[in-house]
Amino acid sequence: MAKTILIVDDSASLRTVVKLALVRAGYEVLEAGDGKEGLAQLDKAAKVHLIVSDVNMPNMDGITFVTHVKQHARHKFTPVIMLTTEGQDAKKEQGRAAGAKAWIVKPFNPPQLLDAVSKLILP
Amino acid sequence: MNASTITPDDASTAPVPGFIARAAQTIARLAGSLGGPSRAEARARATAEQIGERLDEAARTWTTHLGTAQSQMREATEQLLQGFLQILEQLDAIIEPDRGQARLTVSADALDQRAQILSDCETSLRGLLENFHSFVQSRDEVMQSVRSLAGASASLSDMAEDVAKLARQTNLLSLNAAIEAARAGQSGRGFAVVAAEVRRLSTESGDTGKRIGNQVSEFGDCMRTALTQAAEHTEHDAGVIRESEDTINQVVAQVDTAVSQLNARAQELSARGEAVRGQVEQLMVAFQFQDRVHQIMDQVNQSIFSAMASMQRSLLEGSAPDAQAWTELLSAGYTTDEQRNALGGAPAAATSSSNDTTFF
Repeated sequence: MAKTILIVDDSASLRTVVKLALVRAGYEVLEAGDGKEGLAQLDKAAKVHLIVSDVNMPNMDGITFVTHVKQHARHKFTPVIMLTTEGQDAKKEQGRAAGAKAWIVKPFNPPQLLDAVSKLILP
Repeated sequence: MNASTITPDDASTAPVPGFIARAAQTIARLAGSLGGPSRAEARARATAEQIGERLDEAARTWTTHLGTAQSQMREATEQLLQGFLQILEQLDAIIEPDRGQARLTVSADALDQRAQILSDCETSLRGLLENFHSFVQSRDEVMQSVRSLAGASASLSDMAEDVAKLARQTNLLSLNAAIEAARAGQSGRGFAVVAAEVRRLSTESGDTGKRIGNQVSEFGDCMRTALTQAAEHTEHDAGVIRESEDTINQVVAQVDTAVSQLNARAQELSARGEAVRGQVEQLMVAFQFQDRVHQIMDQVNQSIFSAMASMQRSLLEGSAPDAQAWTELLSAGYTTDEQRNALGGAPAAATSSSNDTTFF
């Protein structure tokens, strides 16, 4: 059975590119346009094996979103990869402190993303 | 023109401010409060007001164009992406009709499987030919035994002739014995009976010898006929086997060619699949430009508002903005390295993918 990955990004085109990379690698994908939508998706989904989240988003940014995920009853152990244009160490530290497991700076290479996903995704 | 004052709090959401025009009005008011406008001051005030209006108009136009450009770029990128996805789907269907949406790998396995089947066919045909050869060899061995039997039948014929010869001699001997018995008269009567019996037996032996000779002769004829027919069949079979061998060799050669072509095709498809995969990945990186450009333009939009508000405050206060505060204001909200690298300098090249993942 295919594993499910939630993509949270306010850019529809970026979500499409990430989805393309993941679907072609055999994963199922859920999408959300910001942190709030991401939490709503998590509330609905029975099982999410990994989350790929942007940082700078309207309504709820990625760091806040991760903080909420880590307090979520069912998904607090779901690993999160931050996928963002932000490459500064201070931002990365915020992501690490919030509970993210990896940080990839856009633009990403599909093999790079898939490598991180395969290393972190829940069994 | 909007006459309200823009504050730092609403700078991010307010329309482009007419601060230049308002600043010009402020300057004019200040000039007026210093003793009333002279003609030169009035002209300067009018000019300042016009410049302010033009700049205000330009700022509005710039931000409108920025918004239009962002909107068009977003739509165009979406269309490009959808087109790209459709092309990719078609490409998958061509290269891997059995796998549909699956990842882009060339179906070399399927071709290898077909090549293996053809190779197995070749082995089976070769095996069939070997069976033909074994069959012919077995029959040759049987015919060799038949030839040996034919030789034995010649010996039997000679022996039958010897029997007939012995019978003739015995008959002659019994005839002489009968003559001698007749000469002996009454005392030879018993001997005459024996001689007659011997003659009867010799006659029967001669008949038996003839029958044996005839049987052996017929047997030999059959043997020769069988050998002649076998020789004809052997020649015919050899021809059939040669033709079969030629046919099989042709089929095998065709199979070899087909297998070679399939293998070459599989390798070519694999190579092309790899090339396409590489190009797809490059395009997937390139498609992310819209997200970066959108973020840069968003920041520029925000920066225009906050810079306008700052300038307005500075003009009202009659002092230029602090250099460091101005730089910080312009760089607020930067999210990409291109923005930081370009600050106060030449345009920075687009960031390429780093392949560098930070694991926590």
